[in-house]
Amino acid sequence: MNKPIAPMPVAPMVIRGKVITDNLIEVGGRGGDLAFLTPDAHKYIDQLSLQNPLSLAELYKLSFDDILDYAGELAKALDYSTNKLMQQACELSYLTAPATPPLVKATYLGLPKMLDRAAIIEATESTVGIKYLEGWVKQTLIDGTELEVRCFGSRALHIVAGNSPGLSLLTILRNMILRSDAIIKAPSNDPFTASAIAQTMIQMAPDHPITQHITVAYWKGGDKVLEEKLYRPENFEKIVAWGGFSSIKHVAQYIQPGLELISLDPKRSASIIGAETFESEASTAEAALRLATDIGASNQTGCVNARVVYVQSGTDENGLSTLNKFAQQVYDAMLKLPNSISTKPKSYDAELKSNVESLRLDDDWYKVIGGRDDEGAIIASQLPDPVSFATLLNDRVGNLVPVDSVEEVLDAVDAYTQTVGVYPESLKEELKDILPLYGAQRIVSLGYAIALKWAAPQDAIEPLRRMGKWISNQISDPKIVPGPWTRPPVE
Amino acid sequence: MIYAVPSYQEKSLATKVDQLLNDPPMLTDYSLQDWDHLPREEIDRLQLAGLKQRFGELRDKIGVLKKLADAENIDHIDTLEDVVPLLFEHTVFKSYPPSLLENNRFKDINKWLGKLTAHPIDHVDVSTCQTLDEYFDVMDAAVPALSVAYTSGTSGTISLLPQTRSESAKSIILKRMTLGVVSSPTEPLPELHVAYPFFRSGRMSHLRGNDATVKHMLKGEEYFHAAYPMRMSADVQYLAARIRAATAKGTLDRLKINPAVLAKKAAFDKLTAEMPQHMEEFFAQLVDDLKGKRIYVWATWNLLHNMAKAGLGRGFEKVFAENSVVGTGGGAKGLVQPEGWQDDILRFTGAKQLNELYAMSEVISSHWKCEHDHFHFSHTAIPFLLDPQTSKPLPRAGRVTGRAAFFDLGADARWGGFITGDELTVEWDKPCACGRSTAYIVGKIQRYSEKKGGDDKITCAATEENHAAAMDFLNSFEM
Repeated sequence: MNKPIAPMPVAPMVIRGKVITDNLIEVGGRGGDLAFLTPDAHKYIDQLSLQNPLSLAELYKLSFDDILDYAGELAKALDYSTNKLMQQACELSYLTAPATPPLVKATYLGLPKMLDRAAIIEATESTVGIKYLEGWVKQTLIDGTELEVRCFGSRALHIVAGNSPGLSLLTILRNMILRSDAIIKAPSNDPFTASAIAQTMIQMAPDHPITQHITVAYWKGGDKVLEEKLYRPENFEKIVAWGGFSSIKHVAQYIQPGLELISLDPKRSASIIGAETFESEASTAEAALRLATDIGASNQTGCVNARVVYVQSGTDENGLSTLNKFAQQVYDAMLKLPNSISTKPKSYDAELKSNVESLRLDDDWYKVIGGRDDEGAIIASQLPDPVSFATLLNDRVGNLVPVDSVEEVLDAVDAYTQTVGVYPESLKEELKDILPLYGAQRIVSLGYAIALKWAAPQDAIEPLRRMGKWISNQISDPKIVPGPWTRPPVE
Repeated sequence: MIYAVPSYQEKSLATKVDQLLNDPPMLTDYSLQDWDHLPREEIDRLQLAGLKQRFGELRDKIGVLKKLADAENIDHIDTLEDVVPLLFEHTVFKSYPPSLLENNRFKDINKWLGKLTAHPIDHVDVSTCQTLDEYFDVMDAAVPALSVAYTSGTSGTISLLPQTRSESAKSIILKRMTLGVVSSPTEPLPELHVAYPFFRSGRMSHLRGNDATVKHMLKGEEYFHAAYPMRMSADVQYLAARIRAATAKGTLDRLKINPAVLAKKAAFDKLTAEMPQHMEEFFAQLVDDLKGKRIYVWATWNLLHNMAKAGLGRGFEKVFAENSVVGTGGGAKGLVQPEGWQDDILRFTGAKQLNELYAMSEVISSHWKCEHDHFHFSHTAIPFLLDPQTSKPLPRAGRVTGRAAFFDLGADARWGGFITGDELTVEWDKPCACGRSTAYIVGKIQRYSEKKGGDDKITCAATEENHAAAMDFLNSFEM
């Protein structure tokens, strides 16, 4: 007799209002990862994309207010205490997410807040302009042409990052605001969240056009047979790809005229601590706590997290003593962060650990604080250089680099930099016109790296505007705007 | 067990251990048959004794080892597993701050390196060295026993390994027995030609052994045929790695480059650009010069296969003597190996078999592949498998998969304990059909770093892979 097999979790596919749990295949499960079942995307390839763009017209019968109402209802439906689908997805995400259960749960509990009416209005106004979504916006050009511009939705494929469950909801929200049709390709580190939200939408309003324009599926990124058939201009107009070098590389090969890539590139973040910080014990302690937050929040799984930190402590003996004391304070503060923000990491990357442990053996050039219990560590460089393995920093390991002058802190920023947290604020004012020239995309007050505002641009672009199709209508009266046919011939 | 050489039984344990550590072929008096069939318990016994001896000799002489042993409170070794907490991570050899090298702070480099070798190097004045090549010149002259080697990394840093000259010599002396080049220490060296598709010399770890090859395997320098008969510049290689890393990060403008090295690099770039053409000519010349002779050639599979295809295309078959030694290493290099590539090489060269080995710069022992496709561990290195997460030792029994680590018994002035980045599956107990007595590797050897990148996990945070620029020729050559 066969042994009874423990039931394997299922990530249902959702195709425009239909929940699909047939044709299950086993995926994942590599290197100790969770194995789960999901419908074989190959079997549904013809249904994944929206074949009839005219069905988008339903969305244009909705007003922005209707969309906000829908979002409000969804917020209620996503309430964790009553939504069994979300509870289940959350618990399964504990097994797939890079972050630990308390952090995943905190994110799930916070999802409804992302749908706050006023916040959506604010963000949409600042990143698109609601009037462009609601109708044609008219202006008269100097030659008398009446120009109308409207932002239409598009058919888009979203390759979502899995380091935070919030990214799935953000994608769904952006899609509804833009009156678009979304196919969400779920990542293997978060295969359950987007599907659970889409199923919630079906339970809440099965026939609603917003519900009818969300598709969620999982397939292994890089599946050539599937992607060659799917990634074509006749299936969608845009691909929004989050991070992941290999995922963007896979996608880039399919980009052709008619298919636009909106690449939210993989990035890293840094912090800068100015000399004034050390003028008082109070400001030192405050900076330590805020820096600990930028390093430790979400266990450093995000692109927003600080990894290398330039500290204007000075590099002489006194300077290094200041730095080392500060490093200890940052470490202590990181360990005391609330578990809704940061915990002992789920794992400690072996390659990173190997590098950290090697530094510990030679304390001439680096001081390693903590890390013996895989809880995270702060490495204080004893010369003005980051560690050679700076690109591996993760799992709550930060590197503080002492410098003498403000000019040197600019080394913190390169082509891969996203967020730069600066303390104190006065130094930020001084640096804000220079940092972007070196690559910084987002500048924040120290401690707020994790507090992403989607009313702001993202990765130095405005993804919401890019996700729309900007259509113009020219109204020209030959009596006012002379027709091209009236141009005099060339001698 | 019957030994071809009866004297084995009469040797004291101390003699046997000394031979394993310092002159391995003498352990079985150059009998490959006996070497391959030493009983497992005997190997374990000698290795444990050898490990104890090395630990006793080196514990307080190597700064980093002392620090680690003090921290772990380890003063003696009773079992093989006792050494596991003292194995060095591969990162130890590149744990110096990169700026020390970038700014030619060789005095500080030596302060760091001095803690990794038992040879005193404090007295060597390297303060005036302006380039890596100069630094190696000064070190080689001042401490002849030491032979500091480097391996290049893709991330813009290089590892520095404080190897010794005696280590290279021992390795070649064992290799010449294993490959059947000699069967006694006194036998005159045979007519054997080395065809080497790279530089004759240099301080890169691959090149460090070439002098020993000439000395212990060949009749003379004229038997060593290098595609580039000159010395490879360490500065140029290091600069190329730094430029690659800086280009990927978009910080090329901030790179401080020594103008003298930059000029050398231009010449080197030209050389690498012309390399495929040159390599073709090199192999064509070899066919002319060494036809019918016994050769020893070792290269990546694709270099050898290209040579074979070109030769076969011109109608050449069985070009060299049938007792020639042909070998590959370094895996498939991310390329698809065409059907029959091995046969092409054998048909062209006329050699009876393709040799393959698993080795690394940090563990100077060669683990040869047998006719049943298993890499057998050399007696000169103690293999371990560790839990990839916790680095705790896994059982040395049954069939086990884990992170490979070794204790290199031949390391006489550096610490031989080393944790690799490779995932191996080892068969500890079931004897291999080839009859060799050692534990062996089954299946694929995979780097943990490559394994991770294959996953479909998407995060918005940039990782190391973003910076691993496309492999250039130098890296594709590394075996």
